[in-house]
Amino acid sequence: MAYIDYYKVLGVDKKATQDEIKKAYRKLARKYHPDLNPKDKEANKLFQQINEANEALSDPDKRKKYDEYGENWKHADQYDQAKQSGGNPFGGGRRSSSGGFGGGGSDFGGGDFSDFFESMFGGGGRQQRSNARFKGQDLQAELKITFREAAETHKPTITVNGKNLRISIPGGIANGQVIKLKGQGSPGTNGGPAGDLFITITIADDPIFKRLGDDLYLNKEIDLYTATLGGEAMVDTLSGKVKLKVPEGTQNGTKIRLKGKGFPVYKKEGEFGNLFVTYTIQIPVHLTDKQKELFTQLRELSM
Amino acid sequence: METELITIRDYCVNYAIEPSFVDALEESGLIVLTIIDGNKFLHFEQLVEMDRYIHFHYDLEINIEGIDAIMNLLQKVRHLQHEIDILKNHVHLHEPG
Repeated sequence: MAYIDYYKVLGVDKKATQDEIKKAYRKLARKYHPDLNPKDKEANKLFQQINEANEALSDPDKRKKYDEYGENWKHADQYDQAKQSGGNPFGGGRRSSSGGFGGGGSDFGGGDFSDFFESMFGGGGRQQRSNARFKGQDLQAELKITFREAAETHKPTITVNGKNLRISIPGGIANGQVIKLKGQGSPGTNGGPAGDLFITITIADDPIFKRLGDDLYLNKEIDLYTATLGGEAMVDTLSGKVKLKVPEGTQNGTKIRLKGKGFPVYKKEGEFGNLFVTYTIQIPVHLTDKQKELFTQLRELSM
Repeated sequence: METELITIRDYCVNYAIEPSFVDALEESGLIVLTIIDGNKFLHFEQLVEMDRYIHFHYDLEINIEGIDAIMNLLQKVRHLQHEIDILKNHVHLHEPG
């Protein structure tokens, strides 16, 4: 847990007035506020730091404590006690739990505070306008599923805030898609509705298939002889292997479509995308003398 | 049936904001209020959106015109992000392996 220079975070001088701190905070918050930077994790992280710096410096008591201890924040409690007894500020003393500024989260949902902040001020920041919240706070969660799980409707149980929830994920869901569970967020106040729970679905890559919308793609390697003379190829689909007839003279990169063998269409029962199979023809290597001779003959015959 | 509307008055009391702010949002077209028997209501579905406007205005000191411009730009950002996602998927398709 490292010391955080809150003045540096806000880009203000240590002698900055409350007004200057407020201005600096607002300027940075307007730049990095999560509502203004959708899907930008870096901005979100910076905003948390800015929010925390503001919590520490905009409250005169917290700022005083922060200024007094500075980089000696680890000894804050000893310092407090020693000061009260008039002794040497760092001359010993028992470390007790830090006290003080308990409370809820930040006004902007700036969320978590650093260990440094928690250790120094003992908990989250002040609650401002969010005290007056009527609707409960929305919650965000992430759920990772496999490619195959995404291909079928399934009902996993997830734990949110210690509560088990059984949710239904329809087959055909897209990577990054968000499922909203109405009323499963934090409870409301003053008769207000509970917030909602938003679950972002992350789908792992599959070693065989690639997906684009409802269509699946795969590469199938076939040997030169099958491509040239025709034959058969076994191809994976989501529902098992199928045998394909490879016509003679199949070119490298030939793409064939298997209708209805793709991913299920989201919330459309019985509808499926297509599976596109691209043939990659393997050219023989490490030829024996006999093979070379035969290929040479072939070349001569073809000229 | 559970009511899913809140009067503007109750809303303003709960969120400690002035009714004129809600009026200004309505005038600018940022929100559409439900009117029943001459009384104006907000639907619960609009509360998240309202939260955002309150943050913008009261915490970041952005005026209504600024919020309007931001909302338009955010819509563009979302559209562009969606396009990037589609393009990423296309690129991914052509990656080896």
